[in-house]
Amino acid sequence: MSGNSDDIGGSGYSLEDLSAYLDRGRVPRIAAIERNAQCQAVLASMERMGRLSREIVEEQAAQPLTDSWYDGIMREVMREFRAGRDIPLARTDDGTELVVTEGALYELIRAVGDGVPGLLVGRVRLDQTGPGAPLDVRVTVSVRFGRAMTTAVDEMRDGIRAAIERHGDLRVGRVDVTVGDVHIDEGENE
Amino acid sequence: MSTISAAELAPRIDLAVTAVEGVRETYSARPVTARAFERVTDVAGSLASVDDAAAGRAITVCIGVSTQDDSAAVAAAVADAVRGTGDDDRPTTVRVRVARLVAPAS
Repeated sequence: MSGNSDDIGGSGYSLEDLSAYLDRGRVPRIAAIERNAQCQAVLASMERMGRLSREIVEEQAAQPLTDSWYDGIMREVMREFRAGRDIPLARTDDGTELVVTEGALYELIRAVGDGVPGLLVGRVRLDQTGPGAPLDVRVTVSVRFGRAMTTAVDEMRDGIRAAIERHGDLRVGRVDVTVGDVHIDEGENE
Repeated sequence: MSTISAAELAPRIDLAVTAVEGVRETYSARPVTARAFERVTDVAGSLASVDDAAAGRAITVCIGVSTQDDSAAVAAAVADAVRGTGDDDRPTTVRVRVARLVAPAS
């Protein structure tokens, strides 16, 4: 178990601890990890990244994702889940308050990116100018060489808006999708 | 005066939340200090946070919802279920925190 500095979600476990836990098949079960939302989100990201790396190797005969790329994405994911704002979904007169965490929305946006062919999500930013205001989203992505950028960006933008606005009264303002990189795909033939 | 203690109510709430349609996962909503104590003593307590104070009772639960569902609707159903577990008229605030939006079950 790690010290407090790298503690994820008050679990007492660090990113390295979670990685080791995942490597050994999540056994023996650690309740402090399994019952912690941030730990679960980070584990899900690690699994997604591992799956993505394997797919790239198997389907495209390409080099596996580099450690630096993986570390960079995981740093972003960690930063996102530490963004602890709660965004109101609804509030009622009887003292009921329904909120969604900023981290949950970051995870949702990354999931949208996973569903867009040839697109890898890098950095995600979420801003809300005030309570109840629309959410502004900024995303940096990498597009696979040969994939039409405008199509990929449009799919990402529309997907983000639809995914967020499915939830209660949440509304989306600006969605800025920036293509910051192009990655090589030797097997692609679009 | 409440007829059921916070310690008795919390596991009831856990069960009620799990039974709500659309709840994919449940997480600990208890304060960090309480979770740290559980970790040290290797005892898994309830997930719901139930805090009794003079002004009333404050309940917080933390859930994961499918990306395909309206998390606000699921959270509202959870809040109703939480309120249904109490057996007194004590003023109660209920906070439902959607901490994860997860891929739909395959």
